[in-house]
Amino acid sequence: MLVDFRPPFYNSVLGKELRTRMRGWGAVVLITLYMLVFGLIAGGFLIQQAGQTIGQASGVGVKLFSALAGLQLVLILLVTPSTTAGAISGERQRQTWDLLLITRLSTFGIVWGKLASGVAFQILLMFSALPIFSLVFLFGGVSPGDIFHVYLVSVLTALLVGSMSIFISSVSRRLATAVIVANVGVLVLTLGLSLLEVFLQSAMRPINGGYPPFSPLTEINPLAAILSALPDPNGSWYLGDHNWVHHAFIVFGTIPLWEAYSVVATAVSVAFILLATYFARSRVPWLAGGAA
Amino acid sequence: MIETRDVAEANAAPSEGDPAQGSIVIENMVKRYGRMTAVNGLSMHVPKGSVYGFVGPNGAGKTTTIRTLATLQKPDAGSVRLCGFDVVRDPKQVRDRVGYMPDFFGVYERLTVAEYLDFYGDSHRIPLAKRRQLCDELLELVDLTDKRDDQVEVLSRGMKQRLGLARSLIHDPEVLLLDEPASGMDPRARIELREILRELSRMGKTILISSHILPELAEMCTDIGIIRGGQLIAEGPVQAVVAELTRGPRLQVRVLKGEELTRARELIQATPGCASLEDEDETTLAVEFQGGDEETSALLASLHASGIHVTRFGIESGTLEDVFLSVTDLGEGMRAAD
Repeated sequence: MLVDFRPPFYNSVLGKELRTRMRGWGAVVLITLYMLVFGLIAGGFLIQQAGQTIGQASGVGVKLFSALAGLQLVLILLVTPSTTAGAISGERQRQTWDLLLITRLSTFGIVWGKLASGVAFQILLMFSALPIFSLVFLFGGVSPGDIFHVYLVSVLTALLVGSMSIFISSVSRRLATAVIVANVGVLVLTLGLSLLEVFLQSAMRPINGGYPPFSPLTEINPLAAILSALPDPNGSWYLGDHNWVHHAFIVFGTIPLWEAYSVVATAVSVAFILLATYFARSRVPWLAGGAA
Repeated sequence: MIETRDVAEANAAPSEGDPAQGSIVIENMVKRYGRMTAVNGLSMHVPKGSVYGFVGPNGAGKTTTIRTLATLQKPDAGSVRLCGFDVVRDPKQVRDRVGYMPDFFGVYERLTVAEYLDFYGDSHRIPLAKRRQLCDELLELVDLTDKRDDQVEVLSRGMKQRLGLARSLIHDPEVLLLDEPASGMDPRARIELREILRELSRMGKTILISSHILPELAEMCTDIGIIRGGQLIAEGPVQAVVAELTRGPRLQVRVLKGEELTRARELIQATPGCASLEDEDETTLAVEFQGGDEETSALLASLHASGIHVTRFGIESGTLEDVFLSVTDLGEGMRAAD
């Protein structure tokens, strides 16, 4: 007997996307390359650190952890737009979008299915790298909590970049345009915000005689968030005093920057998903044309 | 505009399930894209269970009308109802009752034919067990059973069109909207499609089909509507529209020798019922003849009695192509008069 089991948050688009994404050699090649890059970086790092004393081992562990976490974030920023930016623009270009809209699927359901499948693939890549991350436990200096924080920031970054890419996809007619604009968006989110922060810091420093607090824009910067979640080899934090933010808008009191990022990234992701849902069905002026 | 059906009937507010009200009722629909008016006060009525040919030149507003009926866009003015439901107020009810096949549609890579249908069945919330059964039945209907495990992307265009038709039927809709379903098909694929549509018509589906292939529409359709410049300029049962809009039977008379043509012309022109006459070639005359069978028979007899050697004497009835040409010429004339 056939059992028609539908898990919560499942819909036909999610099922089809997960199924087709894992077919063919593309997914296998991507996972292999992902693992290969992680393996080579970890192996190279260990060879370079050979000859360290036992007392320095924890420092090696923290450096390796930082290198892997940074690498993972960069790969997320590179891979996620390509797995999600084509979600709606690709359907429009393939001329399958109208056929989806006349089913009983809601526009939100379609957007959710596309986003969830793209982010799920990214999470699969992240978890395939977990065994390599566990190497850091051989050296010490990193707690399971640190790994959890890094993974939380990584998953939320995938969600943020994925939802931003889906939104860009919802207002784009062509897949290539959506992918290019999504990658520009990632650059603005990371390097753009970082450069802006450096500029603001240097501009304000003479006034206060010291480093002023980061601007609120840092709370949506994935690079700042991952630095905030990483312990440094000296038992402190890479961002020093800036690792803590005092925020009365989202949470009360002082919290680590990565926690503020978690809240802000989730809120911005929800906003992008809602905007994508609106624009996916609406007739956006620059998408108009054809008919009759 | 030619009205072959009671206008009051078409304008009455429809209610669901009332066959007299028709499956599709459009009243004064207007749709604009920026400054361009694609549909300008269109009113049409598609009877329940009919096969309705929607005919018009490129840019007449056919696709805009069909997309509006499929709830893919909203009209700027007017009322558009399908099975008694308004496409703006009750789009979900309409989607449950309409199957739509656009003139061109893409397919997903890395899905088999059976998975493709299953995906759309799932998207229409059809339970798994029923989906499997429906997929089998629909693949049999469109003659793709032996292709069920093939990748969709490698199917020929004709097969993809048939698969698209099966997709549009997956939720058992009452109304089918087919936008140029035969475009790009070879003659064999077109014949296969025609047979499938006949079968669907026998099953009681209301089918609205837009096409440029007029002889095929004439064979398949029970009703037609002719659109031009965003307005319906003729509508009704095929035979009624053809009879109304063509100028009567056309008589073709061919004689054996060219020198007999002048005598034949003079004799035919003197015959009552001859509305007009023109030379087709050196031995053939085309006659617009209003007479009945007796007058036609008498004309042949008088030609024979005059010693004219007649090699062909045939009556050609008006066709949908004649209607189309005459109506679009009429439109040009009306436009010029404006």
